[in-house]
Amino acid sequence: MLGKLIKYDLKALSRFVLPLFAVLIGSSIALRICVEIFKFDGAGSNIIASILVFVIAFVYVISLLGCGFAVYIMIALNYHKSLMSDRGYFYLTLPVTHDMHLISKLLAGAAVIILSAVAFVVSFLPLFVGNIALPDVLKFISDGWELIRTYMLAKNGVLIIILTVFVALFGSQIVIFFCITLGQLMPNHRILGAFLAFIGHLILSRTISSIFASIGFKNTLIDIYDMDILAETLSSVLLTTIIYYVVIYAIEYVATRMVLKYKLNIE
Amino acid sequence: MSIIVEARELTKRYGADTAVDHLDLTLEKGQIIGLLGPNGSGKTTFIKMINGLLTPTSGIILINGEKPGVNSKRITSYLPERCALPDWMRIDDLVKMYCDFFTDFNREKARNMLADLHLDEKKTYKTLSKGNREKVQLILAMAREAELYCLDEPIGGVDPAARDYILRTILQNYNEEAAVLISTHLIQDVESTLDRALFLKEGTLVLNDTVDNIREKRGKSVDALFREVFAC
Repeated sequence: MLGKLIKYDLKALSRFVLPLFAVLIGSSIALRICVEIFKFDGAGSNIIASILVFVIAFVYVISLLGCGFAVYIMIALNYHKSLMSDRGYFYLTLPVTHDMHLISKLLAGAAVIILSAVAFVVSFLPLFVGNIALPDVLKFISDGWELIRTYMLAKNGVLIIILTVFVALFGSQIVIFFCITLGQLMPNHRILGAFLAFIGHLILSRTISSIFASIGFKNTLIDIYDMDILAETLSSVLLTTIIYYVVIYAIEYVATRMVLKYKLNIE
Repeated sequence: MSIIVEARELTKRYGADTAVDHLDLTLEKGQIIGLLGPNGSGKTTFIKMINGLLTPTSGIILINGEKPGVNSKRITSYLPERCALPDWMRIDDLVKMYCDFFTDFNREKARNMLADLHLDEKKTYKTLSKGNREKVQLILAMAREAELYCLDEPIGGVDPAARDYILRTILQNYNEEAAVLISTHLIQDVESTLDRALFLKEGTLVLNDTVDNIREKRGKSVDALFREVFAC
């Protein structure tokens, strides 16, 4: 059943995000083609070429930004429409648990977020192919990663980075679901309620995380020139922050589920 | 006949308002039951509690001996009074979705009913008129071979010809293993279909009797009795 729920959540999300990715990559390709055709170099190029390149570049930049924001907006809308609006009369009467509904949306959302990151990276390729040699790009990435790994993180740094990405991938969605669900408890002001819940969550979580982050600092004064101590400290801070957010997201997940099961009234 | 729905002291309050007030009733398999009452009498609230969409404030609701949950949803086919299906899907996609989620869904029956009502499966749900959307929703609900059908205002938004078809469809799905609970205020249309009538007034059950008894003992139709009980 979970697989089927994920299938339909992915279908619902892909209706919006796939065209967005197509526009992103398409505008990147179009931009490169225009630059090549008109040998565009800014000063001295004809006015039509300038306008065309500007418009396409504008579309590209907007879709780059859109990829980041629009994906989360679609995830929020899908959650709200499936479970909080009239469609809830159908979805919440399916023979599945509330956990399955939440997990399905989390997994489908995570897949779409990862896809948007891939589209983001792929959209750069048409702009750089032929201009920068691929081996140079790979060497740049490899050198940068070596620098981070050697000087910025302790030996478990890779694991910590993976954990951070994993927690952020799901946690960011849990916050959205939690705030939307809380908003439903204000029958006449649901959207305002969700917005206020989100602001409250931001203020509270940032305040408490700042306090907890300081627990990760073992020394009052850190010698930032001592790379070993710096790496150790950063890892400690990251790990403490991850643990804190895992606890917060777990509480919010459970709260979301409880409200869905016991307090929700779709009207 | 075995009991499919049991409500004991079932109550639902919204703040100071009581939507359902200490409801005690049982519904048996093999019957078509009319849940009748004016607007705001608690019919939809009761049906939503059966389907796990609302949690009772107090009391118990059992479906086939269990509280509303995954098992009860597996055997209950629900038709809400709103259009609840994803409107971006085509009708044939909706049929596939029902096949995916409900093992008791009869695809051939659904397709035959869609053809009878001249509904093109390739059409997108949102391009249909309100009446046709309700017909599609009803067809999908009735194409399930469930043990309990909860139909909330199934004929409210459709034309009179379609109403006759819908009521015939309900009768043809009627069997000894299923109970059909129809919530409506179009009593004249459904009366001939009903075995039992439940009158709800301000969340309280004021009548629970068979249609035959109402006609014989009270000497009037269910519609006439309804007008008497709920006279303004």
